Amino acid sequence: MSGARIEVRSLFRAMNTDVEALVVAGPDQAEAASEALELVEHLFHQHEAVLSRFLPGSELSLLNASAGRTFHASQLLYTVVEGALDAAEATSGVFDPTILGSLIAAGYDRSFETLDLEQAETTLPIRKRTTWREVQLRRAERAIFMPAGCSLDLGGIGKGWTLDQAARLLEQFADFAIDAGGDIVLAGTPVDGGAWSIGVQDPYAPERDLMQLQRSDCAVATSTCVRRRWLRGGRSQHHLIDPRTGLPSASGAIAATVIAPSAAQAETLAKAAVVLGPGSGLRLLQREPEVEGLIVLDGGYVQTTEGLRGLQRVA
Amino acid sequence: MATQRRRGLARWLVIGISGLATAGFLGAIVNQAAVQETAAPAPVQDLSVITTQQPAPQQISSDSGSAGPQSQANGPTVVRGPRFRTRGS
Repeated sequence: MSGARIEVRSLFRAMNTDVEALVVAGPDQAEAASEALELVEHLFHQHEAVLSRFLPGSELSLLNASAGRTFHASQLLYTVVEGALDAAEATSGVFDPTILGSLIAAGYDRSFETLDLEQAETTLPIRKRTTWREVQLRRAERAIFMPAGCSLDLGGIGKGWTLDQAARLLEQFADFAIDAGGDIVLAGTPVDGGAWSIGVQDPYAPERDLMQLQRSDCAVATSTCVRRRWLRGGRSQHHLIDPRTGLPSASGAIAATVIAPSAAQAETLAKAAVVLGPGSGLRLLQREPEVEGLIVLDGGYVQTTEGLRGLQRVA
Repeated sequence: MATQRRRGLARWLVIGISGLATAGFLGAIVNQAAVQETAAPAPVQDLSVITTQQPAPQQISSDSGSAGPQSQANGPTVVRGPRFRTRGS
């Protein structure tokens, strides 16, 4: 059959989420696609082993245990930490990887799948005492210094960074997509042509989509404070910490979806947009080149950037 | 970056072949070690047709304001389901 294309797909679990990676190519490239997808899976597991805060032996855990001393990091950890600090600077600290202490104080001290969702603890979360500005890097030595009491959470940006690196592994194919728990990178076209279609889940009604996007050659990520919630001392908590207060964000925004050139950027901007809330969050997205997005507010109201205007909701 | 390949794991790949008239394309599940096509047509998840309500007129605001919750349907219409869903973590 002349002109036929095939879709080679890999499904696996990593970083506490389901990952789907697929390549669209000619039938004669099936074996090469299969091999490339194996490398993608290996990359995810490799990065998880370095970047997870939930693995006691991960390099990130070792770094966090080294606060107050200089830590010489691998290229991977150093690069992601550097990227996280760049994102902090780009968002004026609204994204801040040093919120881990506050996150743990709020009760998120282990993988969410194993978290006690009704914690009896009644002590109030502590306010954050350190910021990203206190993390010092020396690139030549890949040295990281954090003051005592400082620790990093690279969960979101680590997954985004891994998606971006996985995309590079698939660059030899013009058409591919990788979906890691709803954070997605897209290139080229799907097997039936056209653009990739992405549903933006309604955070209030997960069975429905707020809208459908048609996109390619970009990354899409969503942050929401709806999905990962738990009770602590009878009070509802979530994992999107406002670095300005050290407490779970209460900005009036409950979710943000961002389309950006890279998954790491989409991840960090989505988180920052939720923390900033309506108005400021949207302005943050609008000022970034090649970025579009939407913010879902309390009650289901939605704000979008200019490029998403006119897209209709899917009821 | 490590390039070590891992062989022999029971991981499945799905291959779809495009260009087949109205049926969409064939699907076949193959083992990573031996990519094989099947002859039998199979439903393709990402081409599933779903029935949904007609999208309401402009529901979503720009910077200048915000819109209310979703309106009611005006009637059924058929749209194609999205290939992926972004849902946040």
